[in-house]
Amino acid sequence: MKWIDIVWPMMGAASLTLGLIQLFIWVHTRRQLEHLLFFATCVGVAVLAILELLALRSPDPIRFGALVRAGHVPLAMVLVSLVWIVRVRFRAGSLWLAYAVTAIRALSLIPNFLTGVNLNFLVISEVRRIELVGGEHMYAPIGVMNPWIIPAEIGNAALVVFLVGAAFEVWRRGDSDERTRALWVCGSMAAFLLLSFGSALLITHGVLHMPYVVNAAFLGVMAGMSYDLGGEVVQSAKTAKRLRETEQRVQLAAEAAGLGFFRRELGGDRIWVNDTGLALYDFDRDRPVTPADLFERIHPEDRERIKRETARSIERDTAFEREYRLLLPGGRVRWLAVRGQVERDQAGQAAALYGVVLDVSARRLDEQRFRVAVEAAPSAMLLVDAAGHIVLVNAEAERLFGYARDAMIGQGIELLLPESLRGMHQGQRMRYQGEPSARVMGAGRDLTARRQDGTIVRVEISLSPIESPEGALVLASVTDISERMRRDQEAAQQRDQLAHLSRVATLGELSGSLAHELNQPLTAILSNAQAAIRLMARGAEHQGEVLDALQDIVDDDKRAGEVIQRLRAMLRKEPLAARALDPNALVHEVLRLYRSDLLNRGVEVELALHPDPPEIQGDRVQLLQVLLNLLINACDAMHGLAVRRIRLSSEPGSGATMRLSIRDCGPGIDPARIERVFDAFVTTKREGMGLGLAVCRTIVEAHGGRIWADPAAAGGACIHMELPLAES
Amino acid sequence: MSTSRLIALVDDEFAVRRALWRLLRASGHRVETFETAEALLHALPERAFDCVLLDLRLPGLSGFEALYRIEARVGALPVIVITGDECPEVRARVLAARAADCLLKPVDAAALLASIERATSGPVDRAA
Repeated sequence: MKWIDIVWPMMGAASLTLGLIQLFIWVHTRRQLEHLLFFATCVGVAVLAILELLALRSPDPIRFGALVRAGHVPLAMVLVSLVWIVRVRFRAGSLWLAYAVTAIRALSLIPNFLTGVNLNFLVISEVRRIELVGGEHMYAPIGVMNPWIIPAEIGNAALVVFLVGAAFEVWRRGDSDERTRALWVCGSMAAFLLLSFGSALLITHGVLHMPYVVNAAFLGVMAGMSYDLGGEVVQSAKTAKRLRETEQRVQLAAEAAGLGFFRRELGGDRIWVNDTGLALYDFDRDRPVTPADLFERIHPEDRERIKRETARSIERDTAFEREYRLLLPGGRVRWLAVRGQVERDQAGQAAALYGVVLDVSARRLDEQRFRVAVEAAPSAMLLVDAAGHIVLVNAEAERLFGYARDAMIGQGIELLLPESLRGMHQGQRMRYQGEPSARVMGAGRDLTARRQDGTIVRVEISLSPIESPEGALVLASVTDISERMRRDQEAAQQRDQLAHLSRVATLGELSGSLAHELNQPLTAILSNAQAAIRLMARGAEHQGEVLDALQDIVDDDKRAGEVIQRLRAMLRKEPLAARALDPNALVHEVLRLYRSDLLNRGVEVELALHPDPPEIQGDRVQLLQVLLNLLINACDAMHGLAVRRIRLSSEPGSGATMRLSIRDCGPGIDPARIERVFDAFVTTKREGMGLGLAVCRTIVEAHGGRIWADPAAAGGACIHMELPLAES
Repeated sequence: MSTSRLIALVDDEFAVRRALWRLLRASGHRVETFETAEALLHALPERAFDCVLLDLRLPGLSGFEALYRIEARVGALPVIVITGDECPEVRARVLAARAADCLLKPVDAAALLASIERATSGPVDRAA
């Protein structure tokens, strides 16, 4: 066996192997045309290798010529393929030149078969034996050149120009990776083709006497190509490895997050679910999952809805989100949230559904607890979103507003306001959202709400902001205070009524004192008037005296008027009218009212007043009544005693209050009854109704103050009361 | 017009004192006024009053107290009580204390002058 017999078949076999690999790649990818073209190249080179081997071993000129003629077919195939590989692979090189090379090579086959013995020779005169190293020999042709070879050689030159142009174009594009590959592929092609074409040219033109050995050059070209396309395979393998790593990382992250993955090819009856997903649905790891299995797991109450939604997604969605319950073996319930996408083919038909699944039971449980708590609240509760729409209401809200639940949900909150407030409310809502905080709404203002039947109710509203995935929400708690207001009003009326009655009663006790107060000026008036009459009757010289008398009448009349005024004020039936009062002035006023009684009963009054007391907040007449009651009680307690002394004092009390105290030197209060003396109908007096102190307490408490009997008082009773200070 | 008398007037209130003083003077009497019973009692030994007009409601020594003391000191001095208290028991107590008369405020000039006239002329009849 000679080495040529070994080398040439090996080149053919190697070429064919490379080609089959490329064919395999193309069959699998179906996309990359360059692999198919490379396959064609390899087949061409392999055929060329066989023909070339036969020619090298052929001493017969006729047989040699026929082999060369046949060789032009695979050669054309190889060259044309190479041109288009470069075009397809690098999208570079002149398209015009590519077509030109293709056309020239195809057309050259015509003279190849119709003129001379082949495209190279018109006639082959002889075949010369050439001795080679290793005792080897080969045959080279000698003959007359076929002129039709010249267009083919121009085509070869065009091919080299095309390759060089393509290499430059890729180089200019600047991608370093591409640059290297373009240089390898185009450069090696151009170099080896130049070598092959050059030698063929010299042989054909009779300059060089040696056989055509283009095949070896093509092997060089193919080595370069294989490096390029093989590099891509290596690259793919690397990419695949990276993808696997990424997938593993995603898988790990998904497992850590409890995220399940699923994919359902709509053609088959399988759903692929990852391990985490299988655990969420409580499926066996080994058994395949079908859509029917999955729907079986869904809670019966949610199943039909999910079937409907799935069908709709397949029909027209690109992405979907759902939440539903699973009814797991053993009756456990689990809430899942599914987020997925629909894969569609070019015709828009759904091909697959895929996405992620997450266990949201904890969130759902929280939501459920929140709902239960809201539902059970004794006030009307409204959950309102950032746009002012009602998201959630409770049963009490239905009752208070008179709307059915469904009629409120989704509506603007303004639905529940009186028409006159609706416009204004929007602005207030915006302001609240700018600065949300838990607070009682509209402090100091009367708030109203509108019921379905159009009636307006007085309400109290407190707001709490809630952050949620759906944005900032506000929970409003609304309480109907109409009833409470009515009761308060009634109570106030009753208190005023009682206070009035008690004042009338007190006035009865005061009558002696009042009669005296009125009698004094009346006495003076009458006497002055009668004196004036007498003086006038006695003559004009008493005119000065008459004027004095008349002036006194005027003064006394005014004094009497003031007494009447005070009396009327005491009797007036008026609601509590609080204003700032000087506590010492109150003490002095009550003493003036009761002065004549004190005088009459021989009661000494000792004052221990704060020199500069702060003002208290209260109704003058009602507080006077309290003091008067206490004063009368104190005097009554000392009836018949030898020493009758009362001590009135004012001093700062606990907190922001002023304390007024009245102490007598009577027998004091029985310690056993001291707690009860302020109750109605409890009295120490034989003729009393026992209303006085009860009324006192009602009045003081209505003022926000307190009144009590001092249990530690020695030698008589001591009553303290503390009244809140006026706001300065 | 009846005889001019020297009258002591006791009332704690200035307006009343001055009005009665003016009326009695216009009626031809001479009047001395006192704010308290103590002041009157103090002046009694030096003055020869024909009659005392006494208010019951007085600071310090009360009208009743004064009545008893005047009775004790100068038994023959007629005392006319003028009071705002229309309670019958008061009137009874006043007359029981041997007052010449008990008049109600506001007192009419004619009634007052008649009472003074009655108290200061003729035999003293104190039978109640």
